[in-house]
Amino acid sequence: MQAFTRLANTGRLKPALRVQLMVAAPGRNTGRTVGRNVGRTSVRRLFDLPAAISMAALAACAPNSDEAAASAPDIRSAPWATIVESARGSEVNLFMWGGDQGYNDYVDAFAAPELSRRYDITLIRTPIANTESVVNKLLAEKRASRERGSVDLVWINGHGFATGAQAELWFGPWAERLPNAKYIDWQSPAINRDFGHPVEGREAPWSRAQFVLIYDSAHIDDPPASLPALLDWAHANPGRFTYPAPPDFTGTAFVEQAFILLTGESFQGPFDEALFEILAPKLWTYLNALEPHLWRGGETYPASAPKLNELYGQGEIFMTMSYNPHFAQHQIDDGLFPASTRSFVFEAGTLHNTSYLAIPFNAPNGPGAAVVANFLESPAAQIEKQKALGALTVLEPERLPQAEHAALSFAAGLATLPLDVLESHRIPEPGSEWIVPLQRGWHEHVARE
Amino acid sequence: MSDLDREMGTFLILLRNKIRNVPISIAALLALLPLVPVALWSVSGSWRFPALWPEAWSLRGFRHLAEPGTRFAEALATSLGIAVAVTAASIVVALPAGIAIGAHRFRLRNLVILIVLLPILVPPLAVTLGIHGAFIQLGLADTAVGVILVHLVPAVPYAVLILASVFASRSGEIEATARTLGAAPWQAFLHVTLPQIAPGLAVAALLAFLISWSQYILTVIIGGGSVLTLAMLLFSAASGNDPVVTGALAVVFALPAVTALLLVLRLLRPRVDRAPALDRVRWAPGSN
Repeated sequence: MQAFTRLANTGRLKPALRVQLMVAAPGRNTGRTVGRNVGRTSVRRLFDLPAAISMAALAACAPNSDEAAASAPDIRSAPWATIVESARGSEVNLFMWGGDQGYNDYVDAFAAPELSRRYDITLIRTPIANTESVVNKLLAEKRASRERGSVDLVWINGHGFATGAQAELWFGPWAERLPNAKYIDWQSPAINRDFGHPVEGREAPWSRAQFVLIYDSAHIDDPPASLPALLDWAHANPGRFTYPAPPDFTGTAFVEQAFILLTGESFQGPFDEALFEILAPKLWTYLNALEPHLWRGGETYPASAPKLNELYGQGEIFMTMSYNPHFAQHQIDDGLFPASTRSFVFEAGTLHNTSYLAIPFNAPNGPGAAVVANFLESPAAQIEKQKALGALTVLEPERLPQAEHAALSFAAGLATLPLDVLESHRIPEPGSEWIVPLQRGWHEHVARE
Repeated sequence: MSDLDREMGTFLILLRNKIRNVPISIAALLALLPLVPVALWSVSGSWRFPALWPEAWSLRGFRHLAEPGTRFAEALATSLGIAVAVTAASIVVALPAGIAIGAHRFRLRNLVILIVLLPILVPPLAVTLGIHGAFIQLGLADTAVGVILVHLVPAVPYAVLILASVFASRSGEIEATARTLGAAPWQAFLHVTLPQIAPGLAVAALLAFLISWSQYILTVIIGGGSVLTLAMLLFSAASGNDPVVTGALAVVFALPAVTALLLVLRLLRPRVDRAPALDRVRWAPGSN
């Protein structure tokens, strides 16, 4: 009974009534698909009686924190000290892809305890199988005008960010006014464009990845640092090179990389079919010329990057590739790659992307999310991340005090390229709309022919 | 009948039952076989192609589950709680429906059956997107209650199907006898019907439990990540690069399913109906 009283007090009955009205007048908000209509009908059937009970249970469980949210400072304009003060003692829900144990451990064992110690913030990491599901969840909440969501911070980049930006799912601008933003070069397109999409302060840079090629120096003295050189090398060493078949992430990156280097375009804008039709044949010609010299005569391609690495680890092929510049050294340390393994980049550069932390439009704890994002891009957190994961920093080392500069510039092991070499060989990732045509075209023109 | 005849008769009955068990055993073996590499991965320290067995063993995967940031204990408790609630609610809904459909003939019965089956005929994803919109309005999205309700959509039809078939194979004569002996309807149900349908009820409950336990996509959409179940931990680990942690999660995830499978096998095992006395007296100790 007490629960019912609370239910009435908090005004939570109103949404229930609204749905009743909506069901009664289907013309108001017509579902686009049959599925939606069916869903609505079955909801009504399910809900005639149990709705009140579950609503009551819900009202009894849910903490009443609406008042706290109402008085929270606006992270787009409030003084930083106010934001930090308001974040103290709060919980921040970070939704991130859970497939990388390195990142998971970094957040659980380093970031969460530090945030608790420094700001009294409880960081809750929710692992997800793919970031698209968060974007879909937010899209549904936007459609339903849900003002108070459950996600404070999302680790995101590329397609997910662009989709969300078009639907106005991201709160902002806030990222450029974080105190630690002064260490970040917001003028650089590597920061202010995410796979070609303008960031506009709606996400804070967190980590960076750069494509590197990996070779065994016991077999190769001078790695081929351009596409023509790679073709010559493959010709001279038949069966010793291959790449994962797209749509594998790493294989796609190799194809994108080749597309950019062969055409000299950067493909930052939206997809342009006419341009693609003119330029793509260059790519297919090159990849088809390479094919007969590949592993197993190019009859088949490894299905994934782990398969490619397995072939390399067993000495079947002499080169592999990764989107993590520290990957080769990690594999040597784990005893999976020969100790003579080294990394290299093409002279014209290799693909590079930045991943970010975004705050959804209906985040329940904006100030907490901003404090967490600011901490994660602090020099201390970035140095620890590079040490623990080998993930590249988003900071500009020259803007840091000497000690931190040195800590970040330190190359971890012989197989890792120094940061300045990586930095001077960077090509931004093409716009996300270009990826699917490239993958489809590869299957049509390279795999099939 | 001589002792020898009796022995032979019992032996033949048992042999027949063993043969009848063979397909079930093969099915069980096939169901369990894919779990072997997963179980091996969960305790492997290093296992590289083309080695047939892990080259080194470690408990790293299980130790990892014990670390607080992985939220393993929370997810396990959430999964269990939701599955138990779904099981209870499914039975409460499916028992009367099963009696009505299985034991009674009435007008529009086929229509009722169709409506009951609709949730498994219509793609659940399409329905769920609509439900999600409504649940957001109702404040049920991102809550355990909402997840329980949406799990009922696939769980209830199966429970109804099983219970309807249980009641369809019963004539109701024993209940009638109990009634003539003075039992009230509820007494007849409690003391006659319930003990007799117990195996069917158990199978329906186990199935409802497993349907809820193994849900991923419905939980993700309605729970929105705020309701964290074991299936979600498993999927997110499986999307990544650490087969040891994934294996450890998969082993824990498979435990209820394997237990349920073994239980169902026991319940479905053919009974020695024809000669119960013989079987009990001469073979029961240790034979079954």
